[in-house]
Amino acid sequence: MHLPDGLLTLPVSASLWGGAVASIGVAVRAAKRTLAPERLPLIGVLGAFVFAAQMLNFPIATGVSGHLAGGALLAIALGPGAAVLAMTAVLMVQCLLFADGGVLAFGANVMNMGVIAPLVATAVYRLLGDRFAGMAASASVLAAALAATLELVASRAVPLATFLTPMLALHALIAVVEGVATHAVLRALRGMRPEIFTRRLETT
Amino acid sequence: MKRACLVIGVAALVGGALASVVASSSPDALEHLTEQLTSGHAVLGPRGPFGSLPPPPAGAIGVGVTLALLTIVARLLFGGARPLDPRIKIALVVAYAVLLSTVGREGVWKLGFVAVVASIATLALGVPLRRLRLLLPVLAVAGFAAASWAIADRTQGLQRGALLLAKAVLSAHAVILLRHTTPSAEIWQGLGGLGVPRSLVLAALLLERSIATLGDEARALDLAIRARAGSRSRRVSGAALGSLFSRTLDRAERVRLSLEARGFDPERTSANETIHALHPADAIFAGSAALLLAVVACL
Repeated sequence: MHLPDGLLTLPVSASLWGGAVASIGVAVRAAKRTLAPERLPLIGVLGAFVFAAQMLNFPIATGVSGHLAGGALLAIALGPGAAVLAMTAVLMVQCLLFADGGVLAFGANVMNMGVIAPLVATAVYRLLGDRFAGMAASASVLAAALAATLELVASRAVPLATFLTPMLALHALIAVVEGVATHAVLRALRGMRPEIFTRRLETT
Repeated sequence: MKRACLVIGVAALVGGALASVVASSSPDALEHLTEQLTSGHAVLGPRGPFGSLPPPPAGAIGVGVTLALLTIVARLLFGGARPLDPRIKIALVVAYAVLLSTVGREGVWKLGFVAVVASIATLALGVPLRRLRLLLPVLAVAGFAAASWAIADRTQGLQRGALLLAKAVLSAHAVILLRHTTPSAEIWQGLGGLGVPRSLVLAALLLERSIATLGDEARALDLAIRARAGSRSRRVSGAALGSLFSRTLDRAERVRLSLEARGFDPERTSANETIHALHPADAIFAGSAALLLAVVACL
């Protein structure tokens, strides 16, 4: 969920901007250290994949379908550093060219979807292994939703009692879509490009 | 589809305007507004339906008008026909969003007025209408929060929810105006000038350029699935997305090779070329506009 402006208070927004700047700084340094400069275009083109993937509907059950968000897939297939940069670029384009997500809330959106989601996906994937990649993707969606809820509650932008249940129910559904789609895509990718899983982007 | 988007968009704009009205007026605002609308005072009355707002002090208006005139004169005398520096535009959008987050009901109404003036000044009054579908995600999320307030507390909650909705819409409107008046390459250049890491600016630039190509590939894949498989299954859709990912990696490699062939240097691209010092007219404009915004918000 892209948070628009107006929901978060200035102190909460400023703190999250600080966290986002620090996280991006770490990711950029890591990319400079491990990624050859001529490979930087890869990050941008991978970000475009996230946009394109959202055009393909993914069936979950009869009458229920959704689309891939992509953050967890990038983190699992390419590593968390590349995923953080690619998702930040995606959020920048969404915020400034499509007005999706607020300027002031950009820090919060980067933290939720660009940092927390890929890191949680990577952590769960490394902890549970390949077979639970879908669960890692679902966990990343729920972690991002929980972070967004905490930020909204800290800003007193929503009444917790009436907001929490629909928010979690909605994101539980999104998490199922993300988990099933990520699992299916990774299974297909293992058949097509097994080398992706043996050498990550940073080391190629 | 476009017509449906337009209808939803117009409904959203009317909703946003009503939200501003509710947010900026007294608790019995709806009754008050209905009464005024039916009696004609909303159109003909001296202060319209927002009679609860105190009259602004004449001195503050004078300062605001003087600053605005100074800004226009400075731009005309020293700025010529040059477009405004993108760094200034981005900084003003951020300043507007910051102000918006700090003001209450009355401030939101005044900053809404600024948004209308900015739309007129940039000859973009119809743009938000044409691009209203861009506001739909904002309206969905802010509407979700607003609805939770309205459910929790039917009297105060409605006002509070309307305030959130109005702030979200006004901030998104500022970004839409920025996009309307600034080519995307200039936006990335401006971000580079404001200190955003070059690798990130370059990634955003290439992302924007690749969206159309990869979007076409996604549509072609979707068409192929429907033509060959008839109906979608999880396995087929997963394979299609996997194929798209694989093609993305191939495309990235082709982009890298073509950039290298043209002597690509990540330290010197159009997005992060050396940013020149601010033109005096732009600097004056930035200072005046920031002051003007603050004056309007504090009136």
